[in-house]
Amino acid sequence: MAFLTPLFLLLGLLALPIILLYMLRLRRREVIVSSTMLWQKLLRDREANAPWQRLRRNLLLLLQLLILAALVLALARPFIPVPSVVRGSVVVLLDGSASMRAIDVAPDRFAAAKAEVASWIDDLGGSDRMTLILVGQTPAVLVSASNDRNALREALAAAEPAAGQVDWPAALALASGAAQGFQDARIVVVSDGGLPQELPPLPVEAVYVPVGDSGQNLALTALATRQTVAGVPELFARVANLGDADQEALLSVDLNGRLFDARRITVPAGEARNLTWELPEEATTIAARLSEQTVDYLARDDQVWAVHEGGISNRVLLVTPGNIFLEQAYTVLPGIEAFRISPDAGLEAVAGESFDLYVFDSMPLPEQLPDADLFMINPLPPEVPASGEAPAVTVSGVFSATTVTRLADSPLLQFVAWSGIDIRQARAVSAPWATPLIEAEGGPLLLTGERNGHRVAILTFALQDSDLPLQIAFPVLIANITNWLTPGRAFDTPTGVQPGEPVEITPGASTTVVLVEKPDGSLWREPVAENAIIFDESEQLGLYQVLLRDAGGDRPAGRFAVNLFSRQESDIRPAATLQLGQATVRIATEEDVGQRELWPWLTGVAVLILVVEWWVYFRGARLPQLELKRNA
Amino acid sequence: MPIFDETTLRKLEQLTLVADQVRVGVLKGDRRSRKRGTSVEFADYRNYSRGDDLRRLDWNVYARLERPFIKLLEEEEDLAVHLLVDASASMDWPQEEAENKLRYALHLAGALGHIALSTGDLVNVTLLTGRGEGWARWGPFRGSQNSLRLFQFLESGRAAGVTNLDVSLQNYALRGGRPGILFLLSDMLSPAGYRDGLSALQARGYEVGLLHILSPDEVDPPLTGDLKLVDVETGADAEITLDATTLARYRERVRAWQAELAAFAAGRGIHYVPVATDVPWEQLVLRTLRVKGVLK
Repeated sequence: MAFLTPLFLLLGLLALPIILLYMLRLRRREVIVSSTMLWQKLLRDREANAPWQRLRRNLLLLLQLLILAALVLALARPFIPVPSVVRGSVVVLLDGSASMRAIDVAPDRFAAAKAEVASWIDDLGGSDRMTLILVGQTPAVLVSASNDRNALREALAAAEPAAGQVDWPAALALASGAAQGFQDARIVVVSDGGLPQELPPLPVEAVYVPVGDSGQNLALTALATRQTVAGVPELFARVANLGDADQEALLSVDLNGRLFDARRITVPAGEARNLTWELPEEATTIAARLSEQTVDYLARDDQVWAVHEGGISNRVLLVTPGNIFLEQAYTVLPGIEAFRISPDAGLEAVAGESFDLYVFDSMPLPEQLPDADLFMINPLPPEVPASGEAPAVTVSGVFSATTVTRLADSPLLQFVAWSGIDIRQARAVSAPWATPLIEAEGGPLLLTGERNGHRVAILTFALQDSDLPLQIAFPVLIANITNWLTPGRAFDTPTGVQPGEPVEITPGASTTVVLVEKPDGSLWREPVAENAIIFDESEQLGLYQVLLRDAGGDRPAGRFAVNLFSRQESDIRPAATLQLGQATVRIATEEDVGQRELWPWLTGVAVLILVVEWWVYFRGARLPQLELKRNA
Repeated sequence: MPIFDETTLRKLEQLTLVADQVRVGVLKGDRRSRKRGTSVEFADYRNYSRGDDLRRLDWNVYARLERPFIKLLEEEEDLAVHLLVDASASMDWPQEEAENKLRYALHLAGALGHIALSTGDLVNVTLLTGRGEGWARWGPFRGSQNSLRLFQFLESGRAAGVTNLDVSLQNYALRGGRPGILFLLSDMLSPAGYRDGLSALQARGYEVGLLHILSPDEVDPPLTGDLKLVDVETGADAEITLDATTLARYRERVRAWQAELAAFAAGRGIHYVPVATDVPWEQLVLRTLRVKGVLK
């Protein structure tokens, strides 16, 4: 045992005045009396009644000296050296990744790690400093270079593990920053391993405190749908046994919330099993879960979800006599399924099928316009003049003054480099409901508008009559127009979403509010202000439903699944060493000496003795009075 | 300051006036009056002792035997009065003369002795100091002409030493001479006890009167605080913390002690008179002792 402030021990000299006071008090006045005979009898009586009466005064002195001793010792701040990993300035990196939720150590690894760090906080010496960094999705410095145990404890108690993978590089950068400026700084990584391979080396010494003692975990590491060669949708799942013992489990698959299949599977240690199912067409949401595992310490990867997006891509019908540029452009557009018919065949050929977008190329408009969005290229006047109501588009001859005079500021022309494009001739088209976006001297080249609830775009010249298809602007323009006509998916999550990963949602033009229904049924809402909306509350695992609210109400815009598909996190085997850059981080041994301070105990003892002293004093003073009453 | 100063002597003279009515020796209460029995029947002879009335000397016998004998008449019973004054150091307390126990005891002894002498009794006075060697003794004398000598003797009385009452009284019983009425003037502060001594006296035929003299500060000590009490007689000390509670217990204790003495005395036929030295001694002699029946 040693003392942090040994000078305070000098206060122990206060014992001298106390003893002196007692001695002064005890030096009795000598009084001569005729005889002590009667007094002796009295003394004998009293001593017989309370043998400890005489001791009382000495007892009080003793207790007071004890109190003084306890207080002086407490002021001197004694500590006992305890083996500890913390000494000097420490930066503690507390792993908050999903694998820390494993329950191989009770109650779980994260709690165990917190308990470990808490014990370090208790052993923090007077001059030690601790920085606490929680390695989460976004690593955060909970407490910076502090000796305040209470602040550290509070921050530690409030720390929660992240939902999925964590950002180790950012955390290590924070730690490096925190360690700078301290001579004796040291970084302590409290983790179960699972750090990414490529990490920058640390500028200061680092030690590693492993958490967890078992790696037994059976995980669903993949769930996806795909089209087989034959065009049949297929469900694919992978179950990986990341532990070192063979595992048996029940794998259940739900389609649209109803049990579809359940299999008992056996996965040998360290191996994975792939399973496939043929999916019925109507399947949209898929959930797979593992149950009845032999041993499984991590629950978060035992249930996964997937969305089957088979019928969601937009169908486009190209009605064209043959246009290699157009066909090519639509083939490569993502999310588009293009079909082509000849104008001669007429729309009757595809009667009964519905398309999201009709592209009419160099043909007169049919009398009966389809109930969908339209893209007209080089519209021809109808062969038979329309009778009755006014036609949607009136084509009156051609013009060749195609020098562009105005480009509207429109998202449709975003990234379109309209320069040096020559057009031989264009048709004079008038559509009062449409807005010209590109205007030439002779008339508009591109018009857009909405008619009967559908969007319509008109390109007034034939592609063959210009060098536009050869320009870089062409695919961009076609993509912009098509996107505008058939708004694509509100979000793009082809590989699924990791927990905590943000999802960008692109609302439609008329959308006012974006809503996301979380797996637990709660709603996230964000009014549309800019184009891109970031949904960043994907901590829960499961299926999220995106809703776009416009004047017509809430319109479902698809779902996405949030799964812990991470081999890194599912592999909960505690790592024996850590690799940071070139350096291997050694496991911290408790060779360093921490200081466990004892003053709170001493203060408690002092208070306790004070109570005892009070009792002795009070009881001592009371006793004779009580007896006197009894005598009376 | 002399014990028998002018004032005291004057008071004693007043006593002389009443001495005819006052007699020591109540204990022989049924003695016949001296006035009627002066010259009646012969009872006995006894040896002459100094101070005896020469008129009662039997000159005939003296002529024949050349030895003085006193002719005793039946009515006039001879009475030996023993006055034992405890002169231990504890009696010389308190130091103020007014309430000094020894001084008070000597006054009392003087008064009682004077009365006894005046009524023709044989008076022995002994100051009990130490274990019996060097006791200051006076007497036996008879006759009021010896009063002054008695006072002079008492004047020389000094307290000294440790008295073991038990031993002293037993010694006195052995060598005290003719038994008679014995007055013990003592504070009874003798740790060794007094019962055996008193019993020894009674066994020898003494009629014992006990004048228990205490000073007011012994009954109700004006003390308080943390004290070390030193015994003026033995030098023994006792450490004690005095507060109201303890003092109350002490007073209780003193009362109990006096009650115990009284009970013992009553059981043995001893006249017990508790005496506080703040009561004037002449008042005690003239009133209290008569009320108590010690004097008549």
